[in-house]
Amino acid sequence: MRCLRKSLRGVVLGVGLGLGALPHSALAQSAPRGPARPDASTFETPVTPPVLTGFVQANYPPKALESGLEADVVLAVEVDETGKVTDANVVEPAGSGFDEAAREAVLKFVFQPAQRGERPVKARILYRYSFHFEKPKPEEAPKVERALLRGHILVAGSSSALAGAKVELRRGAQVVAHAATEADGSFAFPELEPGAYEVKVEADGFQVYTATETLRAGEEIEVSYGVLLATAADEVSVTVQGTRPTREVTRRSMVRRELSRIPGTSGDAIRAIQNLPGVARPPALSGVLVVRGNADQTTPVLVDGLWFPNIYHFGGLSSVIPTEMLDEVNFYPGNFSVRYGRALAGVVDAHLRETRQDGRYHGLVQLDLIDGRALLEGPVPYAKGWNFIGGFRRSHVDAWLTPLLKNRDTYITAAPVYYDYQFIVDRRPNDHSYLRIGFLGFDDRFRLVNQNSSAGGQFDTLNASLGVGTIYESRVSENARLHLTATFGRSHQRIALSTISVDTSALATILRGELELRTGPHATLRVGYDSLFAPYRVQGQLPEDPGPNAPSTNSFVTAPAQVFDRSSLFFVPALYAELEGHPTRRSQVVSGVRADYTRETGRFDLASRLSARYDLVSGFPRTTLKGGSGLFFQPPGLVDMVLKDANTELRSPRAFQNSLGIEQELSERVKLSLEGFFNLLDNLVSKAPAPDGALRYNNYGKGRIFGGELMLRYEADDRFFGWLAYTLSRSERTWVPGQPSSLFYLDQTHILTALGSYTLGRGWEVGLRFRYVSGNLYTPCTGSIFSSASTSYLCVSGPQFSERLPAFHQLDLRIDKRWKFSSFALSAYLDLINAYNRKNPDFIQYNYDNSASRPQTASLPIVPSLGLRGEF
Amino acid sequence: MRHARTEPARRPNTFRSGVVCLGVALFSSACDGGFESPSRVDSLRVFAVATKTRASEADDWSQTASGSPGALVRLELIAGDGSANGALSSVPRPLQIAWFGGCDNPPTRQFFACYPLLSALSGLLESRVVDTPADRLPGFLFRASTRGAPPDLAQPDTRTATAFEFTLPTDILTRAPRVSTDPVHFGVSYEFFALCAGELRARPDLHDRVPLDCVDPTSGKSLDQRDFVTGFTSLYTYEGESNANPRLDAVEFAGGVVGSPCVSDADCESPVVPGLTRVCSDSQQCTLRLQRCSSASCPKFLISPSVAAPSLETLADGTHEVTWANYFATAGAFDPATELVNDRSLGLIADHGSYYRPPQAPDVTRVRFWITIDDQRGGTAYSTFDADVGD
Repeated sequence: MRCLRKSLRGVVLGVGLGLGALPHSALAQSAPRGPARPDASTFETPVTPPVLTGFVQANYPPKALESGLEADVVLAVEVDETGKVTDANVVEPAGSGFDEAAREAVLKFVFQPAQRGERPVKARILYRYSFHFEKPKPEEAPKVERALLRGHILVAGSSSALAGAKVELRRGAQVVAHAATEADGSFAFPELEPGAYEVKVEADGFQVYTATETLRAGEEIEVSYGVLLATAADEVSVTVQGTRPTREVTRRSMVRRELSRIPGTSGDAIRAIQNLPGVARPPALSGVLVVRGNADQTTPVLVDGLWFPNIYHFGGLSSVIPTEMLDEVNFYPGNFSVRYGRALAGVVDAHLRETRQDGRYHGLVQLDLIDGRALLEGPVPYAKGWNFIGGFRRSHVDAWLTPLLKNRDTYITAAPVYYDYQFIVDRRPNDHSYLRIGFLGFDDRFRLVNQNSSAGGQFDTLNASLGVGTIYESRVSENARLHLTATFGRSHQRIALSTISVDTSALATILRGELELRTGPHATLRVGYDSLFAPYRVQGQLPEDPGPNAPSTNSFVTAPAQVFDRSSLFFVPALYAELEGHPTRRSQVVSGVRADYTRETGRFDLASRLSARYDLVSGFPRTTLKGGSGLFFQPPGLVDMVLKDANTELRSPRAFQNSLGIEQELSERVKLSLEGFFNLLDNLVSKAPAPDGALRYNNYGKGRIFGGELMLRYEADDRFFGWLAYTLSRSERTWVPGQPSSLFYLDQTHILTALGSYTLGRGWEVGLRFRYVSGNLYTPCTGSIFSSASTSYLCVSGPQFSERLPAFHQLDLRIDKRWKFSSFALSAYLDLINAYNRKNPDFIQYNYDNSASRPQTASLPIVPSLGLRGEF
Repeated sequence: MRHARTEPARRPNTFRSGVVCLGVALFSSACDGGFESPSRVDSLRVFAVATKTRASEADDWSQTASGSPGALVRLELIAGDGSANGALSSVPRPLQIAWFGGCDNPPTRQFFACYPLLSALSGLLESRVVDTPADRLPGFLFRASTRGAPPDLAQPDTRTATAFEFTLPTDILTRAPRVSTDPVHFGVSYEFFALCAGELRARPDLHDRVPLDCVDPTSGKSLDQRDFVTGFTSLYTYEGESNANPRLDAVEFAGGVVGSPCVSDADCESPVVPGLTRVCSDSQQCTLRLQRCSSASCPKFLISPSVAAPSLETLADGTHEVTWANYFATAGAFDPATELVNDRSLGLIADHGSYYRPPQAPDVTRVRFWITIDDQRGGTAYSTFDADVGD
């Protein structure tokens, strides 16, 4: 019967809609990501990136010069078909006047345009403009006529340095200097005459890269060039800077191509997370996220910083945010930043993508076996500078499920239908600010009657939310950035089956704000506010929870009910501060503190966290040692808070997370990550008999989780992406003091995922995914006892969770085909789930008196999922 | 859901977990795991325990399934023995039946909290528990049938331990913990029983079940669940409320009322149904004769209990008391084995009958049926009848 208990924490907070997504380049609250990468699948012909032919020296900001400041500014540069720079936006600002100076100079750059075949095309690249100087020493005054050019050669799209590359410096036809890059990709040409030079970079397996640099007398220029793999012909994104290291100990990121192409996920971005290390296979049909042996609902899914507690339609069919509107999904399995709170395990941080700003209208229509969707974006008519993106999706499972389920004893009275909708407009009022306004909503409904069971009757479920919100970001000074989010929404959720019913409605206001202060060349301070203010009403009844590790009890129909009807205020404000420092070029230390208040329990939780990274080898192949430690709190579930006895005060469950790992670059695209973790849990909400004999809530639960994760990953290029992910872990709990610990029911010892997707050419792409996971735990029946109340035989339980089901393994196959026409594209996919039709056991089914049992599956048999898509 | 068990989450689950349950529930009826239907009675079975109460010895037993402080309570086993593989024997098997009563308001209010008490109690029993005088167990109620004539399961009687009577403590309510989320304050008393087609033995070493064993007296080997059933009843005493047993007025078998009075066969003939003959018995009641199911012809008959609508109660919150019907037969097959009679939201579901197919086996000449009507608070009504089977 506990199967139908649920956490109302998630229910009430269902109004936490992810409105107002910022583009990643402007999102202060989002973790930094790699270079922008247009969807490679939209380009069929090999593309040659733009080549800088006309460099313009920026004016060094006078105040910065006086203060002795140096800086790097990263800009997103739009280059049109003629090679002219049409726009340049600062994506990694430095403040102190550097941003404006860099932008002013870059706008004057001249490129040889990118080319698709023989045809010049528009392109967008990232460019890092470096400002460095050395104060002239008096005795060196006579040498001011000479200049210095130095820099690094990197592999485009990564932070990998390219060693051994040949760098040639020419003036006209004459080679004036040449050098080979060091192990860290560096090179230097001292004592150069002022003037314009052509820099040519050559390396085996890479495309030739050329650039023009103009050196003034006495000037020192430091540059970074990104060179493309020779095979990466249709890569449009070019980077001239390596990615900043993540602030968290471990961040797993997936770009849009990976999100939409992983076999077995039907292109759903959030389900793709389940393929990463540390994520367990969820129970069948549930779609819950189980991270590092923790309970479900302890890893929130955030969309641009706002929590989506029910991210899936109907328990896992598809997520409520269409993949087409997502740009990137970051997954932090633990030891995450203090900007994230109220989570005991990990965090999923997804980002909506920026509207396209090319002045044209784009759209898509997609239809598959589950739903149909449409999306349109483009400029807002009569509103200069504003762009919009809007989408709508509706399921059509009702068309085939309703007749399938119709018989004498089971019939549908409200067809299962879900839909979701999104509409967002955004603009940049000026170079220093960004504004987004929009609304999101979703609605799931289903009602059926099943009358051949005492626990049947009418099953009724409703899950609907609607919210409006805005995000505003502004650089308020040279060294300060402000990010504000405000969302208002309402939510109504209902589930009812026989004697179980829960009806929740809430109005929620979510406010987030973060101020980022650059306190020096090597330190950044962030302070933020994060709150949810939600008047709610929850009413219904649930069967009495017999407590953790209790034997089988009566059917929930005959168990005494706990009735509740509560109107209250869920208010959880939080403040946090985080200091990011780089004591050396190789190291990074992030320390933070977060204070959470939970009005329902009247308690403050203070969490401090520390993480650090150190490059044992800073050049290619980079080797990074990383680690973290910290406290994490999550308020008790709302069910617990509502049902607890009045004189029981619950504390927030707490996790003490520790991790240590190493990252190793094996090649320009292949990375190895190995990490161990050891987490201690306490204050877990449990139940135990009080002196009066009744079961009362308490915080006696403790837990211990430890294990290791390995990820060997080939980062996506134009041809391939894939990884091997393996997790070894053990998760234990103790619910009553003094009792020995036992395995947590979601413990999965081995989790192995191997996947890859390869582009064959001519629009064909094929992918495979194989998974092997230890079987789920279950408690065996060692006997049977008849309950006259439920008129059924109850299981006499053996040791709790002492047995495992047979291991799960499954192979999924995905084939994509794309046809490109002059003004639109058509694509089709076949996602063959469970290709060899493995009947993976999900539970043990017993006969009526528990004297016989067999493993049974609730997972899908071999299912071909077809989809069609048109876009322009 | 009775036959499918998943291991549920031990801590608060999610909204989605409901969908998991739904999925299991939806498919459990179609996907029965290949097990034999629970409606088939081919072993020693208990179907329900009917509860009656009265305030004093002078009163009649009332059809009240809930207790009251100091009330006299009578529990009647509704049980059957189909171990003869559908061929009903005129001579029932010897059975030993034992009852443990008096586990009132145990810690956690759950039945399994009584086990330590039962284990301690069984340590006081002789190894052959039925030989232990009841007065050896002060403070706790124990009754057992004596060895001798087999009990008649169709006639509940305290002398054969097919019925069990006891008195609820007067402080059953005052000693019960008050919990703010209980819709009504209640006390609960658990009574445990064991039916053994062998010899009962005390097993004080068992702490997770009824501490009794059932052994074959000749071999000394433990008997399994086909010959040994343990169970319990949950008797609730509500403050200011009571629960009446549902009332089963009649059972229709293919449109005709079972056991209706008659003088001649003509009184029983209507309606005419192929494969079924109704005759007037010597006791002047219409009885059934079923045509044996063959591979070429196997009719199915709708069996529908008439539950008195007024006995389907409305709860304090205005919802309907969940009530369901279970169908059992010593041979043949019911589909489904359980039908909902009263849904919490929808109320009475008129079509709550079940379809029955006669047996095919040539040695089955008589079938016994049991139909129980059970409600969510422990109320029970039942009907049992026989039918002859022929070619």
